[in-house]
Amino acid sequence: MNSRKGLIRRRPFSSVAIVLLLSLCAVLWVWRVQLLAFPSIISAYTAKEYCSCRYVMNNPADYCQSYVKQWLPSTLNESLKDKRITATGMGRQSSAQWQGSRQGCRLLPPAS
Amino acid sequence: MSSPLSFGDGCVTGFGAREEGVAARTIICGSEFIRERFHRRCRCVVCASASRMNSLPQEGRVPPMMPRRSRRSGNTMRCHQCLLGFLAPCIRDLFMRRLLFIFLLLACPAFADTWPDDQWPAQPLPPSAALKDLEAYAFPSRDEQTHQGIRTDALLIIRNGKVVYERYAGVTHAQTPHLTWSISKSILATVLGVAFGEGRFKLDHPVANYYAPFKTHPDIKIQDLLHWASGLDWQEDYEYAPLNSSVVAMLYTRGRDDMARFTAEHKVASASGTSYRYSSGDSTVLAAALKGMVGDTAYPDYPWTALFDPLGIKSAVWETDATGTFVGSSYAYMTARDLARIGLLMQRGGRWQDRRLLPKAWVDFNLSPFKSLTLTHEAPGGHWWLNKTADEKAGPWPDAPPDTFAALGHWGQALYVIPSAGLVIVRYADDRDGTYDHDRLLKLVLGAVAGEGAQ
Repeated sequence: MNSRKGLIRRRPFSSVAIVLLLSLCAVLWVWRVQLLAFPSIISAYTAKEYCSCRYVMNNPADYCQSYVKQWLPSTLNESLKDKRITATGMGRQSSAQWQGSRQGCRLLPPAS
Repeated sequence: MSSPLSFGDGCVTGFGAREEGVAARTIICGSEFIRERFHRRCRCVVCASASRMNSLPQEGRVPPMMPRRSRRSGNTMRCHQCLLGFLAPCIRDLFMRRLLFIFLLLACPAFADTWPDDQWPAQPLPPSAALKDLEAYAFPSRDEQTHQGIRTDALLIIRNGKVVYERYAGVTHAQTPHLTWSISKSILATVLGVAFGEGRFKLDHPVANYYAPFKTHPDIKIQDLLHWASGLDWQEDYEYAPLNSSVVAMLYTRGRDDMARFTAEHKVASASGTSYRYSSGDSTVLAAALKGMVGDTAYPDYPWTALFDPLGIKSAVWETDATGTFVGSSYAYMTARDLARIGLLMQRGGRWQDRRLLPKAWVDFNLSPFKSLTLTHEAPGGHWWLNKTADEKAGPWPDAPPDTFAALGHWGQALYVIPSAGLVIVRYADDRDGTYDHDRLLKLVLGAVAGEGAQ
């Protein structure tokens, strides 16, 4: 007990830093599944909603680009011949493709 | 000749005797039917134009049960209804004729209803100050750069089955199948209502009967999902908690390939059927359970065969996940005019023209407030939003009548129905902030419609 008290007294900033680091590790561990999936949100959202905006709602391309714009940077690539949209954001890539007149657009499984 | 009498909702009726031997005529709804009495038999003759009504019409016997559709107003009647006017020529007194005429309308309430056929009949509201106020609120100048403020894409008002107001903004127009977001949930409920009427499921049956992955949640019933009260630990936040948002994960990341299974894998937070907790997962599981109810073969076309085709909805798109399950929570699209058909079906208690598409018990379930143990400022019913609560308190829209109900979606999508005012209102939008207010719009619409009535 005395030695621990001594450590905190001798190195108060390092002690706080260690506690914070351990807490951060715990949070990362608890949220690991969500954190691993999180970066895909921007590209998946952009690809899917742009695809539907263009090929289901039949809106113009410039309107749809503005419609799906997020606060994080992303890129869009539209393949007109197979109605396929590929988007990137936060280091991930997602694709969505028009499936048919009743089915609209759907996100494609990630390329392995 | 007696002149036709106008009697509400475009129904034009008149009867009177021509000369001896030519017979009396009874014309009901759209001036298209003539009953010719000849050898004391009832014959229905379709008259191509008003002028032909004065000449002896061409005879053509029509089977008594064959429905005829008016080209003008979309009204439907049956020839056997002509029989109701059989006594008319016998009653020469004008007063008595009018009494009979009122009796006919009371006896056949379908006469008074206007329905859309391929197109909606229209009777635009005349300009008024109240209408200007409504337009000023719904259609302020549109900021395409910041996307701030009220950004209405479409506003369509139907009164008593007729379009009284319709306006589009931005890139949206009358033919745009607009994304409905969570209005999809109420559309799904309406599709389920048809399946309910076909006896394909019961409200108090476990979901697991129809969707096997829910065997891990054997207590959750179909009605619990419809009340958003599955009790599953679901986080619905869209933008404000993207990291732990269940709905964002379902639509875009971890759940996107099999959304219903993703929902089924959630832990239980409270006992099923007790607490309202809005969940797109609950709606998606309903869409998956529908597959178990109607079978894999019928499922991909079921929303069309069960609901969209009978209502004449031609613009519908319903996206699926990778397993082919409809994204029942979020991804139905249709034009404003087509969505209004679902509103009219609900306004009229599940009846579409002379067909009962949804059982009365189903609509009653939809429109009964759910008594939740958790407090909520919303008033959920059976996958519709109500303006009355289970404990008789006022609903969320004080300026609208208590019988108002709605299907509501992200970014300001709304389908409001006010049966007591004969109103169906579709609003499509791209509201990116919280400035839009349902109650304010409803108040302005009611004002605009009432203003017209006063003139």
